[in-house]
Amino acid sequence: MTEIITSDDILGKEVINSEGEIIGVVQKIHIEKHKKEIVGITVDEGFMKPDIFIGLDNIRLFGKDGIFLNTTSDIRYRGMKVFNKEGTPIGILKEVIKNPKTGKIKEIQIREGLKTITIPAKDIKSIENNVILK
Amino acid sequence: MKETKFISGKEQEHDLDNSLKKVIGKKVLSKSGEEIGKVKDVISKGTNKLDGIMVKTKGAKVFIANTYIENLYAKSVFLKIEPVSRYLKMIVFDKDGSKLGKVIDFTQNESGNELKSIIVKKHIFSKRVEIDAKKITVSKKNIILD
Repeated sequence: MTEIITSDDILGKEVINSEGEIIGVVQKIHIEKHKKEIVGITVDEGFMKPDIFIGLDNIRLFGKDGIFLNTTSDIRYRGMKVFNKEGTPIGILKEVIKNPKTGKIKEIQIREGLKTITIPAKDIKSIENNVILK
Repeated sequence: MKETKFISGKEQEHDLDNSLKKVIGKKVLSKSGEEIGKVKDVISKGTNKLDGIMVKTKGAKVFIANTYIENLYAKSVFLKIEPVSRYLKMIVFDKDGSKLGKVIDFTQNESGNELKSIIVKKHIFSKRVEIDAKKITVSKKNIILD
């Protein structure tokens, strides 16, 4: 019986991605009504941010104090600051465009004031916590 | 503004816009682009050599030696490393998903930027727990133990 958890053990718990980042709290549990199985959770990412659905395949562990994922979402890139090679912030990352075949980043779109500019992957030095250009 | 008078034989060799004072207050970015804090002070070695910078981070005041600085730019300072001080204030989870507390301190190896252990505390009255760095599996945003 100790291996069984209830909705109280899941709802409202923090959701932690594979990098250890707390991305939000569990708002809903999704159950497939015919198979009677949990298929995923909805995560509330906070004020003004869209809720995201996370499938069971991406959940590594229903922990005591948090739900651990085995993935990081591309959404995490949004809002990162973009610095040029001289360390000057030039804008905010709006979108990451990936090559559908390879899954590698093809280009990024940056919001620079009212303009949106596109930077090809070859001009990116690093994209981890923020974006640094070459 | 009055023109600067040079007391130097080689006026053209001096770049007055290149003052180190300008670096104070600038953002400090780790190798991965994480903003770790702001430059509080610039420390010199002798009369003409930069020894390092003092950085005010979210958890402590940190001295970063010149050897770990990639470049001092006009708007920010880039480091060559992910400084160990970034572990401070991180939340620590064990492998079962239980929250153990926050990192309040750490110990380093002799190299200076290699983590030896973290000191974790759950709340103000709880005991300090030292955890060996070898037990850390994830440490990018918060810490997950093995």
